[in-house]
Amino acid sequence: MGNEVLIKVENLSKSFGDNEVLSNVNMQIEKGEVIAIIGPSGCGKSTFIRTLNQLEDAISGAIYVDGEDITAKGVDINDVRRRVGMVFQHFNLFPHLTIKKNLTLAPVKLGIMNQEEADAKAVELLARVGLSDKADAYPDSLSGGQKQRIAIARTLAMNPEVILFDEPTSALDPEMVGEVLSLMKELADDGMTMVVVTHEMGFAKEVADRVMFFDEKGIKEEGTPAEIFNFPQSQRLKDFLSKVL
Amino acid sequence: MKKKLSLLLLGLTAALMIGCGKKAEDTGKQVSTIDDLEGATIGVQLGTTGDIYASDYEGDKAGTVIERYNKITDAVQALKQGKLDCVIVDEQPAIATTKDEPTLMILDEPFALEEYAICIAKDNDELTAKIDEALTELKAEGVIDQIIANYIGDDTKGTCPYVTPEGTTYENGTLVVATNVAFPPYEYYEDATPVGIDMDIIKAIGDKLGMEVEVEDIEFDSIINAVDSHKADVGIAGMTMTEERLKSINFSIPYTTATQVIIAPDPNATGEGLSFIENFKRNFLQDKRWKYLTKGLVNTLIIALCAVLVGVLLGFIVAIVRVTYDKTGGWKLANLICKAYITIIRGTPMMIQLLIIYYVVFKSVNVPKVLVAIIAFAINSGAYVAEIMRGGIMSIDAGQMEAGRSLGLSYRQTMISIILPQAIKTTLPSLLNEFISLIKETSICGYIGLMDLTRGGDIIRSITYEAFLPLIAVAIIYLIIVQLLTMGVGRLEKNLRKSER
Repeated sequence: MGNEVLIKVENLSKSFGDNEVLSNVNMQIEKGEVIAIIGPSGCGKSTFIRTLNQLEDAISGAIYVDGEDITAKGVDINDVRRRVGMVFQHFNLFPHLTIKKNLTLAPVKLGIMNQEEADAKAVELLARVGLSDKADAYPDSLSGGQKQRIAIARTLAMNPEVILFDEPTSALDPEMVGEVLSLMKELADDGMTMVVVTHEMGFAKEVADRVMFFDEKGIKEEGTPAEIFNFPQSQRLKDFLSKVL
Repeated sequence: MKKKLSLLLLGLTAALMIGCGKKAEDTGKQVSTIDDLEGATIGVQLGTTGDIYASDYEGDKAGTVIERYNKITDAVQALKQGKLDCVIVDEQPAIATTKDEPTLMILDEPFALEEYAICIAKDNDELTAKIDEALTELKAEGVIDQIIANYIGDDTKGTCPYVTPEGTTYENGTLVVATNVAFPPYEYYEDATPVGIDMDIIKAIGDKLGMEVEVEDIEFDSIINAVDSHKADVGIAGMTMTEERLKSINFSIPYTTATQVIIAPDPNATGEGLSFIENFKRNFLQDKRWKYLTKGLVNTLIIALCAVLVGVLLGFIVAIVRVTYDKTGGWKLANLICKAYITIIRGTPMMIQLLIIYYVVFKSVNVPKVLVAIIAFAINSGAYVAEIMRGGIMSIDAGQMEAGRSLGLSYRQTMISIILPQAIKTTLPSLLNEFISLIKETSICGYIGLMDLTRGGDIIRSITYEAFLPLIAVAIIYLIIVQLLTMGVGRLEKNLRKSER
């Protein structure tokens, strides 16, 4: 594509105690790209995506966001995280706040917007995710699919440059997966840079620009959806695809 | 809920009426002379000369048992119920105590003779000299005899009260006097004011020295401690000079002599006690004695409420330190201090903490007792609140912190706007329960002479020599308050569950 590089990962390794989960991972993400990360459970794909905003710190290697190494000492990680949004498997909405407050809390606390601006932005985003009528409701009154759409809106409220999705549909009932995926597709179509850890092969096939197959502590195979799904090279990927497709 | 409560109260009242007329079984031994003391179960007041003399019999071959009580009225109560064979006590309190008790008698044969004196701290020879001088003068002027005659003797009783000489000024400050107001006629309550022979004598001495007398009502066995630790300047409580006491305290010259006598059940007595209604009137209505309970209740509530508020603040800080250490590894030293605090407070009895704070920490500082109690209970409560809060914070899903941090909020901002509001909400019922249990725990305030609800009941007991009614009344009041608050907590929990839906 030849676009501007947004995130670049160099020789990233990570272990929990003696257990190494990532070993020398290299990759880069360009602006506007949608990356799907697939792979068997426990292959380190969630850990990888969480290192991209330093919810997990790397043991060695470097991660550049906009050319700045965010693993370096003295980096204002809070500032980095404002640019790198994240959507979680379990939504992690703030149950003590209304939906609107969930969206406006961070922008207002961080001084990015005043309350009026944030409120206006929240109204706009709620309309975009199709939940305008829930502005004053509390998260517990929402269905799983609605919660995840709100979580996406909450991330969008920060105007991030990239959004990391950590298995966004895995905790949803099957009939709610569609509404979240179609919202994500809309975001992709609008040009949002996205990294999505997912088990939804249909989404990876249809929406992603590139698919990365994680196995054994790193990226085993990567390519366009057509390459990965139609012409898998390694035996591991073939085995994996035969199980999930 | 209300129905249950009133049923419970009804049941208690019924139990109370039955209990009133009931008597425990006799232990058997009739004490008629001093020789009968061997093998008897003897009641005394802890730390009195009666205790010291009776202790000579303790552990002898005949199996004599000494039961030590905080108040002489408790001992007499136990004697009435047949738990004791006799009580050894000073003559005048014995007369006052048995006046309304037709089933008890005082043996004609005196047990021992002794002299009462005022105790002063060992390092305060100046005050000892002044008091000796004042006492000598008062004796010479006949004031001491006048005061004693005003309380003792059928002909002279109430005829010659002590009056402060005209022109007396108090330019030399206050004289803090420790006593145990449960020892008539030397000290007892009349309209919530301590009166009696000792009270008048010390007033007369204060007048001589130009010092205003301030009375502190504490347990008898704490008086010497209080004087020694300068919580009080002097102690006066029908106290006899003994060798043991002289080791820790100085005594003035004696101001009067008294006899130790033996109270025993009267084998010829037949009379029935007072009826329930009369008893009720005597315990609560006469001289507005219910006021001891209401006054005490106010103190109890003030102490519990203030202590829990300060305790929550303290516990909150400790919880934050502990959680921050657990989650980020920071604040290592602060965490160690907090851990030590929690370990010490939760590992020692509340009463000991209260006594240490009063007698050791505030040894030489004069702080109002209510404040001392609030501080002691707040420090105690803080340790428990800290663990409640820590549990509350830890119970919040880790995803909440991650969500906050992933939006760019700092640890602190996430803690304050996201974690704590949820943690406080989940711990609110537990915090209120802590307040409820604190209300009951404050019943030990009497140990530093503070009049809380329990102490209020104790004072009534010391006036009426009746254990049952005041204790039951105090219990019922605690029960009602605790029950009301528990119902409040239940309602709150319901409301909390309802919101966020």
